[in-house]
Amino acid sequence: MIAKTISVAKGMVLPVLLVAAWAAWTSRHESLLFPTPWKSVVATMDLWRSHSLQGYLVTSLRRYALGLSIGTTLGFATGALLGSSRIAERFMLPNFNMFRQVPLVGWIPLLIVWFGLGDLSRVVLIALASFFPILLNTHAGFRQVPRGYLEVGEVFGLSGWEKVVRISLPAALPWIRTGCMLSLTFGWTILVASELLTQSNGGLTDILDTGREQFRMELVNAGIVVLGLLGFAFNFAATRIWSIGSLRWRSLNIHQSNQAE
Amino acid sequence: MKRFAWMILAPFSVQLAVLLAWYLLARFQVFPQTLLIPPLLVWRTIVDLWNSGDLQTHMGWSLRRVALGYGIGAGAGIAVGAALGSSRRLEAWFGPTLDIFKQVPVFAWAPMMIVFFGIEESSKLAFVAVACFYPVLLNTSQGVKSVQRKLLEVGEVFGLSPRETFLRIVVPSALPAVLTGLRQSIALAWMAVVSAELLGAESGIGFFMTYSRQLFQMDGVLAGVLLVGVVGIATNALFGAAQRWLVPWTREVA
Amino acid sequence: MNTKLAAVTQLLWTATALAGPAEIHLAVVGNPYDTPIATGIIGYAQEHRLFETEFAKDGIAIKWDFYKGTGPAINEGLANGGVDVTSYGDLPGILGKAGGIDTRLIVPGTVGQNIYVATPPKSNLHTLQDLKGKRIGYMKGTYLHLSWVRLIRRLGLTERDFKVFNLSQTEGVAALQSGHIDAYVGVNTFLDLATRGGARILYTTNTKDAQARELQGFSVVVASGKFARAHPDLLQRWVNVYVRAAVAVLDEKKRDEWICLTAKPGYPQDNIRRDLGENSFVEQNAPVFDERYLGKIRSGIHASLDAGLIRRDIDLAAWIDRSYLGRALRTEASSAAWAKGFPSLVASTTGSGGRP
Repeated sequence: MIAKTISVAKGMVLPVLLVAAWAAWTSRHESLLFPTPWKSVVATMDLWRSHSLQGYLVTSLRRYALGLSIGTTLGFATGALLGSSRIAERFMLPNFNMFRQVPLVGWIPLLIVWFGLGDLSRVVLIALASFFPILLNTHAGFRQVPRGYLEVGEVFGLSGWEKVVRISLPAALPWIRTGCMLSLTFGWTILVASELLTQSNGGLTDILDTGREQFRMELVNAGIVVLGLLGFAFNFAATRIWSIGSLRWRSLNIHQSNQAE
Repeated sequence: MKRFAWMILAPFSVQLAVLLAWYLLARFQVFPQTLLIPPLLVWRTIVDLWNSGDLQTHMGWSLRRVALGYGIGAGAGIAVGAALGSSRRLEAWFGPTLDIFKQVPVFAWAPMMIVFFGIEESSKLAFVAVACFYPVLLNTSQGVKSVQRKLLEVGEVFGLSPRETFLRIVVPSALPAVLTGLRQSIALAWMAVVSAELLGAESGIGFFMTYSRQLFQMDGVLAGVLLVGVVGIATNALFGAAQRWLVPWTREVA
Repeated sequence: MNTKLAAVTQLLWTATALAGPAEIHLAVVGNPYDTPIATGIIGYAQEHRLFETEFAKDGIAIKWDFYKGTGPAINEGLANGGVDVTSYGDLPGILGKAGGIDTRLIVPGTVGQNIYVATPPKSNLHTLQDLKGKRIGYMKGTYLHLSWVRLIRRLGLTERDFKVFNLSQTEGVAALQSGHIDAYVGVNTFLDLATRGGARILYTTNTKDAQARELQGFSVVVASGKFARAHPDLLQRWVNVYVRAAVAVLDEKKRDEWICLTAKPGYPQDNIRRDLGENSFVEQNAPVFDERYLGKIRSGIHASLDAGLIRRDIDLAAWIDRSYLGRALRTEASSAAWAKGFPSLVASTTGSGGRP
């Protein structure tokens, strides 16, 4: 307990020093490119007071939630399918792998022309982003289920469906968890990308855009902090959720992070 | 033979089906021609671009930016990652700071780069470098950290100098992880270049796509998308091959 | 993935087709101030809610969409069915039509749109030739683009002789001031910037020189083909309202009101005044398909082809549909002085630009 506190404290020294140095230096030599950290705080509070921040939050979160839920659901289902059926795997896996390597941002101009500047194009992009990590990891998880387990299932006369739900699924849980976390992070990254590349859209990146256009660095800084905090929050929340009850035991596998992106 | 054919043909059949669907949908104008460009038209546009030299020019710029930005970012990532991975002390003091910056979605750095560096080359390179940095850093430090104690002890037994330990034990041990990081990074770098060019540039594939969009030449946009995709796939294949050659003892999850 | 997209889009389109017009989608070019205010004759109609009143009788609402991406973005809207009627620049109109979008040019827009080539105040570039090889910014696909291309063509140059950055008006001003570009081709916002010493105007079409004025841009009022075929009656009523508004505001005595109207989105009034100069705003905005306007379109199309901005020619006769305007002029503009010079257009319902 003490050791943990010390290590956390050690880690915090550098960030605190950096912020303090920044504040000290800019209070003397403030320039357009280097406003004081306090200015960013003020800017954020202003956005909160004028209710713009809330609006941005709701809009961005709505897109994120929609895209994420569609993408992860489809990704999980497809991954389970590919993990259980050799035929499906043979046909689709190489194609998914290939499609995955096409940079998502390249699709943006096309999506905008097809779906307009509304939310549909962004939601599609986020869904695509969250689709692949969980697809690949679920597939990998299913594939590594030891044959022995499945044979036991056959001995007990379980149907194909039952085998999936009662054997493969629990066994693949660590991989699914990894895939879920990766989808979450990547989905958030792509949300930001999609908002930046389809300008003026009512989302959180508007803070960044306004800051850039009006040359107000404090807004850009504020935007970066807000986005970073939210990303961290989602990650944190997801980790907590996955630690509930038996999920924790199941997913506590010594699972390397070097899994498919 | 039959097994082999099955392995290769199955995925191809899906691709052919998609291509055929695209061709038919365009042919029978199920969607307005302005939105769903016939595949042949896109092909012709690509050929035209090649003939006029524009493709080479734009690609050249984009690839140049990727190479430079990647070099800087990945290089820094390896250096810092190796340092953090080998020294627990460094990790304790510097690790959390890097973790904090890692939370920021990488594209959020783009506006900042533009404010600092303008629309010059430097802003794009800076953005690409930042994008590449983290995957390489994380994987390298992970790889260096996981060099098994046993191996290091063997090195001690043989009386290897620190430099030799590094070269003959740490590097090969960490190599798979480092290569994974490099591979993830190049994909991100390519995306970063295209994004940066979409935002503000006078050359490059991303610029070409924006330009085509402004002129409502959708075949140009689609051609750009395809080219971006091809490069993405090609680089990934290249890295995959490099991995198999350099570290054939690892197995990748896709 | 392609097939999923196809299914979704097909669904969307079927849905919109079946729904019938609960709204008419009017697209308006965005302005550097991001205000949802239109200018010109449509601006007048917006201020007095003329469209809303006309269509309220049938329970049809008017949806005003302001496109920050201006002309090029509106083309995308026309292509995917999100826009029914719009007034936008010459080049976007030409690009859209040549690019295959199904539109009809139903009313002539305004002529005499000026361009301003601005440099940083301390720049040592003084002539257009000096700009060769330098970094130039402008919004591609807008009338500024076409005017610029025609301008440099006269000097024997093409776009490739410059390093071109695609920048919006606000981005352009920022880039100019921070020295990241050497020149920007923009609208009249540079007038007061120049007065305040924030920029220098190297070249402008806002002069008495006939050669320069030839390069001025114009605008077109365009309806999506789909909308025109599905609801010709609604389109006719729309044009009627437009002409009604024109009759109300196009009067030299109302010059100040016009300037106010044009400045409403946030432009400094002085800029508008200087931009208009001594020209007759009535002449510039009168919705009649006169030879001057038709000549401008033809030369615009020709210049675009020449510069490689479009790859196919446009059949002007098939694009222009004068019938709506003809009917509207007869019913609404019989008293207007500017319509009196064109009896043939007022009287005929089909001309050489009739509906196929």
